[in-house]
Parts: sequence; structure tokens; C-alpha cells
Amino acid sequence: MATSSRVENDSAPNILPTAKRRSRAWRRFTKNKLSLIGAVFVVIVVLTAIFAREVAPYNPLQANFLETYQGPTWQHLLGTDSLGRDMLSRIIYSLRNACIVGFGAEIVELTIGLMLGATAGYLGGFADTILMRVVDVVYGFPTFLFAIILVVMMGHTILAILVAVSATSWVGMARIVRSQVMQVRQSPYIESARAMGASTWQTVIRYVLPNSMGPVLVAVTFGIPANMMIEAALSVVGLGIQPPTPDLGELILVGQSAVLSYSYLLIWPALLFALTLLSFSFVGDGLRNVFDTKSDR
Amino acid sequence: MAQFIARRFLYMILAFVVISLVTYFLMKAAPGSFLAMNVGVNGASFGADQFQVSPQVMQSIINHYHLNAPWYVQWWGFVKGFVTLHMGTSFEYPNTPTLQLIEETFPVSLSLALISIAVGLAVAIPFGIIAAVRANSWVDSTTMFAAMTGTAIPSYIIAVFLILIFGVWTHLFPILGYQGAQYYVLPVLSLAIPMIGASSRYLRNSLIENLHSEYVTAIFARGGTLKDAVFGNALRNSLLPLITTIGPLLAGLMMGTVFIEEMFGLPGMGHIFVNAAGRRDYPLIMDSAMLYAVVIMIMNLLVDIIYGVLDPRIRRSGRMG
Repeated sequence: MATSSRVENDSAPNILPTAKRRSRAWRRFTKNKLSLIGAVFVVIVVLTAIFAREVAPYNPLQANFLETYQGPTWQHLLGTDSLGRDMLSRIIYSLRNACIVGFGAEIVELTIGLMLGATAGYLGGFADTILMRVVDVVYGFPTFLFAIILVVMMGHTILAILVAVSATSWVGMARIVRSQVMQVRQSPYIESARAMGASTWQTVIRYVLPNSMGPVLVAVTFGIPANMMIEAALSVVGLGIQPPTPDLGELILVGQSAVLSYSYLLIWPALLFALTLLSFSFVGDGLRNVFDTKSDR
Repeated sequence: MAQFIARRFLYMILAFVVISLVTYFLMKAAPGSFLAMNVGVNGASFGADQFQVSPQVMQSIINHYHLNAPWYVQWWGFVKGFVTLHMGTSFEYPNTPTLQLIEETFPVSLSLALISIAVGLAVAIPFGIIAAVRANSWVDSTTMFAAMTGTAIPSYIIAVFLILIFGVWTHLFPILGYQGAQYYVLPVLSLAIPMIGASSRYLRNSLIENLHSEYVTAIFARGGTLKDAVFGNALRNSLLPLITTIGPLLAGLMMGTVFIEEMFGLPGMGHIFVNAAGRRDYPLIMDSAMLYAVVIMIMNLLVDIIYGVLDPRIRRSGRMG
């Protein structure tokens, strides 16, 4: 980090020391109350997913045929489903899938996007042309159908869903990285780094990428909920993770089929999912203000 | 312009070939087959809906669908059939030609997407204008908050809330099936609401940018009002970039119809595709994937052409930026 901050200091607008700039960014982020609330909610969701075993009052797979379709009671705060399974526990456990796919697919996308985007953006020419052609083809591709075919092909496991979700969405990340790198490449400090004898590889890793991170971070924050949406959408059409495993999309699918009689089964998973997605986009908006990037996502 | 369209068209053909190849190989790589799932050979039957057939019949089915032919023959058969509209029949619906199946179901999906985009734009444009003209007021922040909420939440979650509010609690609209115009209301709203969010925010931002530009200052200097500025020039200049977002939006809406159809029980193409994928119905998977790809590409091309025709800079130079 020390090297990158020294390099940043050479460029005109960032004359403050790193620590001070960071605290200013933090202040700017926290000034937006919605972003702060969103960040807190996201942290709660992630912690709940990690400690689902400790937090959930019941085993989410434990059926109890004496207590089917119970409305909210003190024993079962959100009621029970058609097999008498505790809804609260099922919802808590379902956050696990959402988080694994949401964050996991984003890591895959980020890795591929950084590698290809940086290569194309920095080298330009032939590499760039190829990447942009691939991007065009994928944009023409019906991505959700592609995800469906992939899941059908690889079976309804969490790994298959992870691959299906990230298979096409890395393209957007590669494009953002590419355009950022193309911008940063022209800065004077990159030129000086090269003049001082840094190799292409060194220049990209140590100077270009760290300085392109702002918009990438914003894209990551919007990418995670987008992945969660695809994951749940696959379950909504009945092609998601295998049924006994609790999953937000599956809870919605099941809740919707009994909505006229037992609407409480539908409302809580949908509400929690909506709030989670909303929190992510509040955080993303806050970050966008901090980095002051223009992005139409 | 003609050169631009020709180049884009050639490029579309290339993309179509790639997409059909990728779909073909993924589909073939999927474990299990329609025959293995639904036909028990020599009495080895596993389910109520399975047929018992002799190896001879099995062989004739395999021959009929060319399932033993090399991959390029099979792939070319699918592509040729699709392009010449002689798609034959699929495994799942042996008595209904696929073309007829598409004719019956695809208009449902397409009209759902097109109506949604029309409704979405009709609402988003006034919202965007109001938010931009009253920038940073409570009207603006309320509109933008609603827009952000709508954008962040996918259509199937919106659908859930619409079902609860209008279907379960107030019984205003039907929530399942397809028997008339009122069955379209909730599906269209579910698809349109996220779109309204994205489009109105986009329009607001670009309109504000235009209202701060020098030509608007010039209009004010000549004694023009805010109304003159917005409806004279600024709105037109802001609507142009909005058009470019419609292509990707339509692609997204077409995908959105897949799960919206599933939720509201509409007999559309998405439902057919999801079933086909689950049942390894090779001809139907290929035909519907190719259909979706072609429709999305044509929509993108149309949007680009419209944009080129409307933007004088591109109309004159004949190049897209």
C-alpha cells in the first residue's frame, strides 16, 4: 500500500496523505445515512449466514407433522411450513446459499475480470479486440437461459450454480476494469514508473490496478446482489439447489404456491431478500459517491 | 449507415453461430437424455408416464432425430431447420410442430416484454423530468428513492409483493392463469417497476447534465423559460442516450419473462424453455435458445439503428461512437 500511496501522491488531486484521505472517504461514506444502515444490515446478514447454526432456533430440515402450517407463535416466530419445519430457521439457513453464491461468484468474476480487463486495457491492440468481441457475443447471449442450461448440465449443486452465475457476468467486470486501466494508463505517474524501468507486469500490478480500484469496488458491491438474484431466480423456476436445502428462491416458490391460504410463508423470505438486495445497493451508492464515479449500473 | 448495418449484420451471424454451438455442446454434455428419462427399454420402466418400447422402436426414434449422426451434422440440422423455419417436432410434443409451439407461446412472452417497456417508459419519462426540474427537492429525493428501490429488487420479488397486495389482500387482480387483459396487469407491473426505476434515474441525471450546459444558459439569456429549455432542447438531447439503454433493457425483460411466466402461470416461451431444459428435449432447447438469441440481437440492432437515425452526429458520419 505504501508504494501505491506514494504514486498516488504524484497525481494532482490526491495531495493528502493516505490516512487522511481514507478518513475523509469514511466520513463521506458515513454522511449518507442510508449507506451506513445498508452496510450494517449487510454485515448482520453475512454474520447470520456464517453463524446460522448458532442463530437458528431449530434444525431447518427437521419436519414435524404435528405442527404443519402453523401461523406465527412464540415457539415458531415466523410459523411453520407444509412439513412443520420452522420458517425462521429455514430463512436463516437460506442466507447461506445466497451469500456463498453472491460472494463466491463475485470473487470468480473479479479474478477473471481483473486478468482479462487489465490485459486488454493495458496492452490494447489485438488482445483488446478479442476481448471486446467476446464481450459483444456474451451481451448478445440470453444469459439467464445460459445459466439454466449450465445448471441442468452440471446438476443442481451449489458449485454448478456458482459456475452458472459467474459464467457470463465476468464480462461486465472485465469491461469496467478495461476502461479504468485505459484511463489510468495515460497518467503521468505510470509514465514515470515505466521511465524508471518497471516492467509491464510490475507496472500493471503495482501501479495501474491499485489506482483503478474505485469503480471496480463499486461494481463488486452491485455485483454481489445481482448474483444473489440469479441464484434465487434459478430456484424460482425450479432449477436451483436441490429442495431440502433451504434457499430464498425455493422458499418464495413454495410460499407462492400456497399464497392464498398461507401468505405468511411468502412474505418473510421475500421481505428479507428485498431488504438484503436494497442494503447492498445503498452501500454501492455510498461507495459511488465516495469514489465519485459515473456508472449507469 | 448502410455499411454500419451490414457490418453489424455480419457480426450478428457470427454471434449466432457461436451461441448455437455453445448451446449445442452444453446441451449434449448434460448427463441423461430424454429417451433414458422417459422410455424404459424392454419393460424397465421407472415412472407412470414412461412408455415401454422395444429396442427396434428406440432405434427408429434415434434414427428419426439423427441422434447417432456426427456432431456437425446434428448441429447443422438444428441451425438449418431454425433458419428455414422447418424445425420439425420436439421430443416432448411429438404431435405439435415446434414452429406452431413457438407461434402459440412466443407472442405471449414478447407482448409481455413490449407492453412492460411501453408502460415503463410512459411512467419513467415524466418521473425523470419532474425529478430533474425539481432537482434536490423532496420530489426529487422521493422519486429517486423509489427508483433505487425498484432497481435493486428483481421483478420476481416485486411480483411477490404485487401478488400479496392485489391478489391476496384486496383481490383486485387475478394472480394465476391467462384468460384476458386483467391477467396481464400484475406480470406487466412486475416487469415494468424495476425498469421504471432504472430509466427515470438515467433520464434525470442526463437531463440535469443538459440543463447545466451552455446552450441552456443561452436559452435563458435569450429570455426563455425553464419550460422552453426542457421541451425545446434539453429533453430531446437526454432522451437520445436513454434509447441506447432500451436494447439491454429489452434483453433483460425477455429473460425476466421466463420467471414471471413461471410465477403467474402464463403459457409463454419461457415456460416451454425451462421445461425443455429440465427434460433434455434437445430440439426444443436448441430452437428456443436460438430464438431468444436472435430476438435479443435484432432488438439491439434496431435500437442502434434508431439511435443512429435520431442522432445527427452519427447520421452524418455513419459511425457509432
